[in-house]
Amino acid sequence: MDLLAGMRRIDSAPLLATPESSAITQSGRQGLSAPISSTEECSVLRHTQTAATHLPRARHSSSQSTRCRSTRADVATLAAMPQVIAVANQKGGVGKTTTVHSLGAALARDGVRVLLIDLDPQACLTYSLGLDPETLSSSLHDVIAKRVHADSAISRVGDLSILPASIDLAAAEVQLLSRTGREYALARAIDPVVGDYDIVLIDCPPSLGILTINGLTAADSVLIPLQCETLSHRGVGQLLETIADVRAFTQPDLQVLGLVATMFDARTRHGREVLADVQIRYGLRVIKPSVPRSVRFAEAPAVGRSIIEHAPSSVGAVAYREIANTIAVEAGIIAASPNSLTYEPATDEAIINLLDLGDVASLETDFARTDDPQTDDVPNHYGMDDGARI
Amino acid sequence: MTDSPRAPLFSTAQRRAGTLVVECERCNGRVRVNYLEFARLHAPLWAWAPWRLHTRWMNCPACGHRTWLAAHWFD
Repeated sequence: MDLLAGMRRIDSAPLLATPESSAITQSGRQGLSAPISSTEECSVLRHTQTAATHLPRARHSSSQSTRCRSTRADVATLAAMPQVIAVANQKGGVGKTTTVHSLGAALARDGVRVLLIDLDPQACLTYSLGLDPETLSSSLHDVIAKRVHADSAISRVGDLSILPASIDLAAAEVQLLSRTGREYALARAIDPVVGDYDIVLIDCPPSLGILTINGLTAADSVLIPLQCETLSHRGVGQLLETIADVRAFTQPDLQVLGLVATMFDARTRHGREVLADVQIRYGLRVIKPSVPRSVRFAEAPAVGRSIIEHAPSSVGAVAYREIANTIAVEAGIIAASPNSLTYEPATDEAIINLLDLGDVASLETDFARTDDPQTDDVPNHYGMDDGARI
Repeated sequence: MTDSPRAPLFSTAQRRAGTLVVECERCNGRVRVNYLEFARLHAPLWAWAPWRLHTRWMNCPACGHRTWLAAHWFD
């Protein structure tokens, strides 16, 4: 397989969180052959140290870390330390913002306290939640510049909390260059509020700069959205080099949570090859299921909602709910029945079979399904009527 | 370590005259500061415990807390 043969191979194994170290993962593996359960099957457990997590232990000293709150009767958030997850890929347009928004909405729906941080000066995440970046009273830029406290800049949108961005954040990059400890500006700014949440998701900008370094430094782990195309594949290699630098210079405990395959089209051989190659080349795991391409993702920001709310029965929403459940269970934030863990490590044999197209049937069967017909008649927040929507 | 093309993004990556690196015991952050900034981080009170790995009780430029830090002149 010579796909992207010119790329420099990176030994990323030390970056990975090893499933073998997790008691929860062990229990989850027993149920891999069982049907994927929904979060409704989650059972209430008490958090113990033996319920080790797949994710690194958070560094944040939260006074609220022992709090336990649930907004749904059948799901309990456990008293785990807050997890800060950066969603990063230096390649643009791979689905970082969509992943953050969808995962956040799926987690919040299950009673998890979620904070979204928009670190992208384009403010796409802020806009996707229905906020107007132009009219914000305060944004992440003000927090980093120490003009306002993070708590007062956080906006509440439904079940989600967001630390919004505006175009002003572009200036922060320049201002940070001359500041002492510039890599830690975001970590320092959000430290007082991180303890109020179970999971913090950071939407990193699609570039390599001070803001991205800040996002990675503030995070405990990185989730990498991967569009299954050659250029995005190359971006993963570059991101892993950046992560290695961040580990060397600022955040030695940073771990790679895994890949989320976005805009995946199982009908194309190229998509499958890229996905298989990235697992072999970098030793990264792919958090299943892959997220299929869907027009629903394009529609959702127009109405200021995530796909979880906009088209809850679409294959994209189902995929993100399962990924969110996997992350929450591994983080020890929610307890689940053993067969609710959907991650299946890719074995070499499985990948070889995949490349030989001898086991195409093992690909996610949900791609065979079609999206539900459009039924929503919710007005979008920039005044476009339904008829104008594509 | 400084061979990386991304090294200029990190303040600790490249040695510069008149600077040193401080390392925080609390957050494990490593930040390069100049001598003036280093002196300022001691204010208003500081302590020195030479038997400790992190010898100076002062402000951390990474996490902002007053804690024990180590200073490395030759990092």
